[in-house]
Amino acid sequence: MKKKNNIDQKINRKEAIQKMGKYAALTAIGTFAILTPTRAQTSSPPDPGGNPFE
Amino acid sequence: MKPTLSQKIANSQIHWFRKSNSYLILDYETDQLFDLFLHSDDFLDFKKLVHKTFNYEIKNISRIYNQLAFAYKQLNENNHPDRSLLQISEASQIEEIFFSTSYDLGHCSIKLNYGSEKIKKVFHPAFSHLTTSRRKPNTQCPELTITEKSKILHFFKNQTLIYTSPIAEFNHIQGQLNLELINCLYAKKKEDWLATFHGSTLSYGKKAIMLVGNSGSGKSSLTAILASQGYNFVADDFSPMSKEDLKVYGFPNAISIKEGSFGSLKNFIPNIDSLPSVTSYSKNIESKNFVPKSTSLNQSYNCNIIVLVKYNSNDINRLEPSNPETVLPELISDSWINPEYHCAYSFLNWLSSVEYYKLNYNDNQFALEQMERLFKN
Repeated sequence: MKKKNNIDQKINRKEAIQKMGKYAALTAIGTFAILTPTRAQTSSPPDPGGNPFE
Repeated sequence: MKPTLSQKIANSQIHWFRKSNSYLILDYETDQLFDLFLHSDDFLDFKKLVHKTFNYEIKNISRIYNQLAFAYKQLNENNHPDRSLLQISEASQIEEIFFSTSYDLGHCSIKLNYGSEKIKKVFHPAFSHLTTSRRKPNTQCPELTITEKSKILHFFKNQTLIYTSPIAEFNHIQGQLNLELINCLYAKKKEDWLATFHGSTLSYGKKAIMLVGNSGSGKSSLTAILASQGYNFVADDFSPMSKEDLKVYGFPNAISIKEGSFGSLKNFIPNIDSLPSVTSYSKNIESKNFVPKSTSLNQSYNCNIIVLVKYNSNDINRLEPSNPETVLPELISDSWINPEYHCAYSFLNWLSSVEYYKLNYNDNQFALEQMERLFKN
């Protein structure tokens, strides 16, 4: 039971970090994220491995 | 340096730092800690302030302090140098044009030159439905050219090189092309825009909703469904907001639909199989461009609902109110937001007026019905 609770807690923390973006950090009591817009206008970034010029 | 601007939005606090043009979003308790950090001289001072402020024990204070210090350093780093000419070591000239066309933007037309077949295949399909053989006389629209040399894409405006990017970052050139199109369409300049959001926008009457989400989240597919069912298409993937009136303006691109969605969209777009296939942005994955009948060229809308969209065939169907901490990472991180002070001020004000939702779905009909509720309520 204790082990299950630990796994549940780990999943919740992981989900929180995934939700918060690249610079998510978990303090003891909360979360924060640094969000930086792109430096210039762009469209959707290509999918990993997706480069139509290659 | 303290935040340049701060805004409470729902139960979150969001700070903007001018130097890095970055937004820090925190929950209430973490914001309290951050405030103590800003007022402390060093770790021991921070520890004293924390003990004084909180009536319960805070564990791992040194780890918290280090995290906040690291974040603070990043937030105060200069992060927006002009990169437009970074790749240029000498002036470049247009050497060869493979294909020229003009796009009809209603009251004007804009000429595009593509330097190779590959370049044409990447950039032309989204706007091919606007092709016109008649160039309308106008003085405001430039002639744009995209070429490639030594694996670097070059973007010319009226024969002058204004932007370059490695071919792997072709989405940057796409962004510049999109910017020139909206500048031409609305007689604006880059500094007249508050932002170009990585989101898709639709409207119903005067109400507009912006869909955000990662690539592959189902955002464009849902946009295509809504557009095919009578909702007014405003923009796909690139939603420009004006600085002057904070409205989202129509952008005339086609909706890009990925192969995985073709089957499930047949109920809504019966002729999807006959739509032309285009070069995909991922290897071995086909995509098609869908041009909705109802579009919003030359129109603009107040948008006060943002929906974070996530399609997952294994997930449950659910639409629920959400919060800035969940939605804003998707909205801000792949969007351009004007780094000027009054733009950040307006942006934060706009964010505080927005309703946030999260839509998880595995069933297109469910998603359509939920979006209908949001539009019509």
